[in-house]
Amino acid sequence: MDAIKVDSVTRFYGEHTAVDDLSFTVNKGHIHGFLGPNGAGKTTTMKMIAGLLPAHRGQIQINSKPLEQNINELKLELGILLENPPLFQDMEVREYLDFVARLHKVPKDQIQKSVDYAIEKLRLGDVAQRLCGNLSKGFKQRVGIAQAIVHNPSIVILDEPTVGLDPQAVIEIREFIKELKEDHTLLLSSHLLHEVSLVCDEVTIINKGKLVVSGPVEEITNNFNKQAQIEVSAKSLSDEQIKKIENWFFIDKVILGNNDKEEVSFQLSLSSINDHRHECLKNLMDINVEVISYKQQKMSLEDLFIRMTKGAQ
Amino acid sequence: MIGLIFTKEIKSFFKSPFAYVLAGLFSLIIGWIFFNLLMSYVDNLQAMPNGVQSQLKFVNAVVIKLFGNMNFLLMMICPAVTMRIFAQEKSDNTIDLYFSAPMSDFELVMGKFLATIGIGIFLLACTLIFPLIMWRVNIHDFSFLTFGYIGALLNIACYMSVGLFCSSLTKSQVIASLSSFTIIMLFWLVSWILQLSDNYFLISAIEQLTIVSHFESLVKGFVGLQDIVFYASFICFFLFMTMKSLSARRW
Repeated sequence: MDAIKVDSVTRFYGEHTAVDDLSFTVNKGHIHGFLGPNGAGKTTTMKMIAGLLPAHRGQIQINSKPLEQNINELKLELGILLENPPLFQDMEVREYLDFVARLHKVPKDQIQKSVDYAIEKLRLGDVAQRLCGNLSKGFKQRVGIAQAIVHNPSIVILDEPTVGLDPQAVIEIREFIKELKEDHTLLLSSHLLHEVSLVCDEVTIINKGKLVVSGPVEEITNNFNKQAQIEVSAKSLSDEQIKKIENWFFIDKVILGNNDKEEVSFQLSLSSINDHRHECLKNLMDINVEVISYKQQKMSLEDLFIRMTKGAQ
Repeated sequence: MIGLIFTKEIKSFFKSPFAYVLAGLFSLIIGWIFFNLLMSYVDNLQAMPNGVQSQLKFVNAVVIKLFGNMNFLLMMICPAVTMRIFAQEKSDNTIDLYFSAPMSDFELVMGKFLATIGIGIFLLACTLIFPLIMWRVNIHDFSFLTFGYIGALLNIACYMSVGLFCSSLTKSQVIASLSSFTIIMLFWLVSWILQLSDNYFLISAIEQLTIVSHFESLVKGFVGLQDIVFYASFICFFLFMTMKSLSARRW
């Protein structure tokens, strides 16, 4: 079932189109990574999903209900942390979480329980009586996540939750995010692609407000790897053989690498979406290329992101 | 929800040393003015023959002048109270907390407005020693004083509504306070035009637009329908503009 469905959403800022006909879905109980270069429209999209900004075209559905028509009801289903945690500097952590719980209409008899849940989940017990303004950046970020979950929403939206944190804090936040998956659906934007690949089940990549790709991480990387680079080493490679290879329909281009007397290496860039790796090897044999090694270059999410966003530019 | 915002704002105000500096300064200045007015009244009273001394004289010599000065002080203090209300929330991004909560802009604006009125009442309460002093000097008619306080409170409501509107337009507290002070001053300076024209209709029309003229009639105890309409429409207009300004994020 879809927790979030973004359907052909467009948002303008004056003449500028920040989000352009964007569609993707976030499945219930998953951690969904939301990637894109700076200015791609991630924060704008997240703000629209959280009901902070209306879409100029298209529709957003939360738990199968249209957001625009049920905005106040659905705001209870959403917890959001934008890039900077919205903390009142003069409030103590517990007092602040209590206030946020009341803002989100948590019943009076459950406020204490909700605040305790958020404090326990984010391990804020030691700083519960300290002023938000006196906390370190890592703790401020934790309190930011705590305020997003204090009213126990089914969907949590986190915009760059690890930005500006030290490596230890990044690891901690990653663990918290993984733990949150047990009770919430998460939409998470980050520049740290390694981070996303470690915690996310699904990913959506956007560039200049437009969708590049969306789906389960494994499926996307597998699909992409099928059409990726193959590194080949052979005893020799003549110009005639290169021309033949370039004529195969699934070959995008042949990139020649090191060439010495005993071994020649080259890269084959496969353009087709279907998997032609086996066929490619068979064809190389047929044209008498004496293959020494044949290895597919596996793409990480980072390679994928760079290639896709660059390609879209 | 209005009560929640109100309580949060009041707590936040009294947690800050700014509240006590502001209240201290206000009490000091208005106390000094009251003392001088009282002393000059007593001097004049002693110089007069017994038969012409009257209660009304005290109202003209002390009460009206006191509230006139108080009004001028409030014109400067109210923008200092309201400047942080939305501007700081915008610069700290805490405004998103309200926008992501299931509440309307009306609830948010009303909660904050009522909190500023609460702060205004606290400031006025700092001057409640004046009636006690008057009681000690055998002045027992507090009707003019009551009208004065009602007028001052209505003026505070006007100034705070302007301040809220200006604060909702910007992230900068300095710009918020300067712009609200400018607007408040404009409504005060309009009354000067009255002295430059002898056109009766123009004077009557402009008179209805100035806070000062309505405040004066209130302090003197002449409460008319036009005063009530003026104060109500002035406050509602600026609160409405504040709500519109907040909803501009949706454009």
